[in-house]
Amino acid sequence: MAIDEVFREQWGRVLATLVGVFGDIELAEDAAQEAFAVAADRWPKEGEPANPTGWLVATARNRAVDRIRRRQALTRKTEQLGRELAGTAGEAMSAEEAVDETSSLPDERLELIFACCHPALALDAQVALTLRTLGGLSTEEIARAFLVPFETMSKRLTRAKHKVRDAAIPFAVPPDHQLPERLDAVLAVVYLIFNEGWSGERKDLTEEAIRLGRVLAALMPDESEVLALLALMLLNDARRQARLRDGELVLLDEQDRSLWDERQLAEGRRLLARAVALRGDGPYVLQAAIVDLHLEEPRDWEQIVALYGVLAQLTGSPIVKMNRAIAMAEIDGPAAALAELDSLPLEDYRYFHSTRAELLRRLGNDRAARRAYTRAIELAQTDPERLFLAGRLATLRPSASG
Amino acid sequence: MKYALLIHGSNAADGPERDLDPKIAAVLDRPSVAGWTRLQGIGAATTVRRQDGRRLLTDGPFVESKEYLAGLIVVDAADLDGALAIVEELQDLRPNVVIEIRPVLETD
Repeated sequence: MAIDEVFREQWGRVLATLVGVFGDIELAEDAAQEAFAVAADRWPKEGEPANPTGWLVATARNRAVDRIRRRQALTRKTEQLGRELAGTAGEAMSAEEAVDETSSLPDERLELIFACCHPALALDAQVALTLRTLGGLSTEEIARAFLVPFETMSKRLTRAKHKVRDAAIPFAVPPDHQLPERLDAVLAVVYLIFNEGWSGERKDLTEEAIRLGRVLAALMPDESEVLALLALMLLNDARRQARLRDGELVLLDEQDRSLWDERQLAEGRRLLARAVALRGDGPYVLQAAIVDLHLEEPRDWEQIVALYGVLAQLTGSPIVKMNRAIAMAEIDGPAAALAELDSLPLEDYRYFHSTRAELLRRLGNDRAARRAYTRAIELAQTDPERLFLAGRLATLRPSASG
Repeated sequence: MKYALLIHGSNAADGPERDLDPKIAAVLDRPSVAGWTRLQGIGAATTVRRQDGRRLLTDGPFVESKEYLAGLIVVDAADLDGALAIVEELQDLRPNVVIEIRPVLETD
């Protein structure tokens, strides 16, 4: 395995362990970075150690203790830490010596992700912190992904790390009675990362979200919503290649199915089946099931409308109601769907206008369809979307008024 | 670690009560509560600042708003979730109060 990949695999694990020991993300991060730099220098020459995680943790831990010693203001803390570590790590233990002890390290990535996604942090801070600590993305990469200046992202991350430390945001898996609510927050962060990548054509972000989804699924193999979120992402992402043609968005019905990633679809379906077998009926199970139904040919619109109905009741989301209306159009016709659509408060949502335009076009109301497509183009956020909408607009009968 | 819970009430809904609700008193009696104080209404507040070296008094609170600081509780908790648990109990009893949690700056 290339050394970059090893680091990417190990980063979250190593960092989580260090945060567990030192309770300070910033310190853990600095120490981990030093350890990775030492490894990058030594491993190619001396060979990869038998237990890379243990080696990295032990090296980083020694560096962190050095750092604490150097901070004079924290003398007392050093003594205390020294005492705590004396029993286990020892003072001048080499990384190689420490490996045996760390080979059975508990995986603390769950504790870390629950700390990063604590609701006491703002959502954008949760997202940035999760990408930095568990994803191992650099501040610069995260800034680029979210189109904010480096300085802004750097401040956001520093502020979040300081709040975790100063307010003592717990580094722990929440107790059972709080787990569903807190898990929702974690899943929302991962799904947000995926959607950010999906709607912005950012492959790096969708891949990162799937990677985080896999980590969560491995750590919580019996949580149906965790498995369903991974399934949902895989089922969507499997169609990535077919989704664009010459830089233009291609609708599901018109996609070249031979471009779909069959292996990824199969994996998504297996995960969904497992989530259902666990009696999962949460929002991610429903969404994954709906996506799965959309991939069948011919489509079972009755079933799709029914599932959207359940999901709408569960979430109260007008966007879900809009999707239900789109499916309804296939059964009850575009007029009924349009009536349903126009009752929704989605004036500022870009897909609302493209959906309306499509229904109006089908009803033969080209004049209103033209207005709706024009509004949708104004709100569109990517070039493939704009191209697609412009193409649709061009199929309408030319209107006298222009 | 210690957290200060700043209890904000809104003027209309929760004017200061003379007597302490026994249920709230029970929460304040917990060993994790290190100290607390209730404040009189903003009608009794005076704000003091220095302007050009002279003392300037204003009749009223520092921040004029619908919400006002009604009291302060200092709790000892293992982490933020520990402080949040006490906040939840208080808000079960007084759903209208807004509570700001501020970690206490401790120097040792």
